Amino acid sequence: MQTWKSNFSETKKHYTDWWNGKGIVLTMWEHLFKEGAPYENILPPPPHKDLNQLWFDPIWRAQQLHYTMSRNSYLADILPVANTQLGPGSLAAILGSVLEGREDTIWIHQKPDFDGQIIFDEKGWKLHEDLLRNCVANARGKYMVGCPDLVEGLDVLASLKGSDNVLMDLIMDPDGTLEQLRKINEAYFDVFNRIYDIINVNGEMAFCYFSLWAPGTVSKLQVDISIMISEDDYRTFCLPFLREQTEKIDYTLYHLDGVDAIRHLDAILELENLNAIQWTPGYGQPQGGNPQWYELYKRILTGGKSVMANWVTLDELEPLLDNVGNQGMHINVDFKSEKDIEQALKIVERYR
Amino acid sequence: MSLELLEKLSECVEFGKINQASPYPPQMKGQSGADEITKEALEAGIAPSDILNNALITAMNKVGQKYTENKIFVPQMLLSAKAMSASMAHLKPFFASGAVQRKGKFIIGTVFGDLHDIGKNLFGMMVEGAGWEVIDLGIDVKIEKFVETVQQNPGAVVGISALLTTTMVNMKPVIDAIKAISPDTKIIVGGAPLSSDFASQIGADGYGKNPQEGIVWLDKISA
Ligand code: B12
Repeated sequence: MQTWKSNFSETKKHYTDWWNGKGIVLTMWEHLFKEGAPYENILPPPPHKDLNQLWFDPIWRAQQLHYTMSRNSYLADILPVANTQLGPGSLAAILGSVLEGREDTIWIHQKPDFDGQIIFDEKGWKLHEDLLRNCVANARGKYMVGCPDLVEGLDVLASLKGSDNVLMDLIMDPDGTLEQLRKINEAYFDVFNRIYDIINVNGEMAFCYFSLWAPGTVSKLQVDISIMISEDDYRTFCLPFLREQTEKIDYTLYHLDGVDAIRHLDAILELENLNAIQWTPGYGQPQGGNPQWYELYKRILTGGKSVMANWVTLDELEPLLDNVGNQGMHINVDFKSEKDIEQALKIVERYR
Repeated sequence: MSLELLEKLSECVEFGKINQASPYPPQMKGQSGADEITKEALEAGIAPSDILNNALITAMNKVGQKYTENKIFVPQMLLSAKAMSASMAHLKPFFASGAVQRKGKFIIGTVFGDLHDIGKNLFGMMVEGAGWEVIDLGIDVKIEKFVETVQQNPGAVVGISALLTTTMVNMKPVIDAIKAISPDTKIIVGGAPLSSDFASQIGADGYGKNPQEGIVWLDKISA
């Protein structure tokens, strides 16, 4: 079936190449509205009654997404993927952490009375299932529905019992922590497969966070809390579980967050089946297109992984490609208009 | 004897040995921890002020230094702080009676709208370890709470923490409100997204990139 993105087959080729260390993907974080008429005249839902409806009413949200998807620009490699985000950690929410909708984002709170057991929470799953099914029903092949930001490992444990408890337990109860992490990975694959069954289109899949598409299963991996632990602890408590994910999921991207996370890069590069690494410089640091990060990108590419650079500006595009090369680069530009996109495309075409 | 006990206590705090039952660190398994040794030291007649100054403060200094140099990380620092608190619990009665003088009172909290507290807790514990009485107001602390606590504790220094770009801007109204009722109150701010430029823009007196910097500033203003 024809999606609303007319050049999707070309974009799919760019993504497939990129996952394999080749070529350039040019896209943006989420979407901007296209110029001119929508692909179809879809009506928006009535204004949301409250924050609960804005985030957690599956019918309202699916309709709102349907409306925006009919108006988004899909130029360059911008993906026709509906963003079903339900906060920073869907797996934690399906294991009992509590979501709270705010004006600008969803907050996640510790599981009340967490007793160490990793237990599947049907209510948390139903929230996700309903949203995904409603979106798929609306999409009818015009666009894909993305997998919400699952999150895994220590970050899930932090959402369940609090970051400082997790950190203390690394030392005071390492065996118990490893057991919890094993259970979290089991739950992860259970949830991942359920979601894949709902959203995959002929075996292809999209992941909302960092705009990912792949010709198979795909996920973004992270351990944000790792900025607070030693390299040894990273190898003990993170690496084995990440390895299992990279082995079971066809295409994986690691989200490296913050200057203090770079300490773990050598360990991350040892994950044979990891395809790509995304770099988030963190507040107070220059964004992803800055020359300061060229060496980091080269280190990642030399380590055999593709790069995703975010929040690159138009004028940084050319020097970035000149210095880091044109093979295995996924570049997110903060586009403000379709004119910007066309300008960036002109630059990138010269490097393809 | 007393020197030996203080050294042992200092080691417990530096390496995070809370009490005898605690399995960490493995090389000190089964030995007395900060809890037992402090009791023993007090029973042996060591002055509480010596325990504070010559064991706890020296140990926490080392911990802060090692953390700044990336030799230890947050988990180890949290355990050191726990060990320090276990010792401090025995000293509390002496603080209350005035037998031990502290450097001053330090009020700390995470600004309203913000729930991040690991950094704030670490700094608070280091400040306590540096010899201050710490009043921890917790997370998501409203302006009125800061103001009220400053009024109840004249002369206290205030520390505010923020971890979000959306909440760091909330620090200015807190500072304005405190300065409005108590212009001489000194205020230090910290948290990952801040910078010293930002701190001076919002009218803070000090900024600490890490606990060590904050403590150097505190020592300077209390000298
Ligand atoms: C742990 C964590 C959480 C935990 C917090 C647990 C807790 N009890 O604190 C949880 C999961 C609850 C959480 C929630 C959220 N988080 Co958060 N979180 C983090 C994380 C991973 C680490 C922060 C941390 O503890 N660092 C370690 C400590 C030791 O460092 P620190 O706080 O900077 O403190 C040090 C110094 O700054 C200094 N210091 C700190 N305070 C003070 C005060 C004074 C006076 C002084 C002198 C010094 C000082 O001393 C400390 C020791 O060196 C960061 C990611 C990152 N890479 O930093 C994101 C991060 C801060 N979170 C972020 C976000 C967006 C959120 C959420 C909005 C997510 C959501 N949608 O739910 C919520 C917000 C909730 C809220 N309203 O606060 C963003 C902020 C982005 C931004 N631009 O603002 C970050 C940067 C992640 C990211 N890359 O997007 N988070």
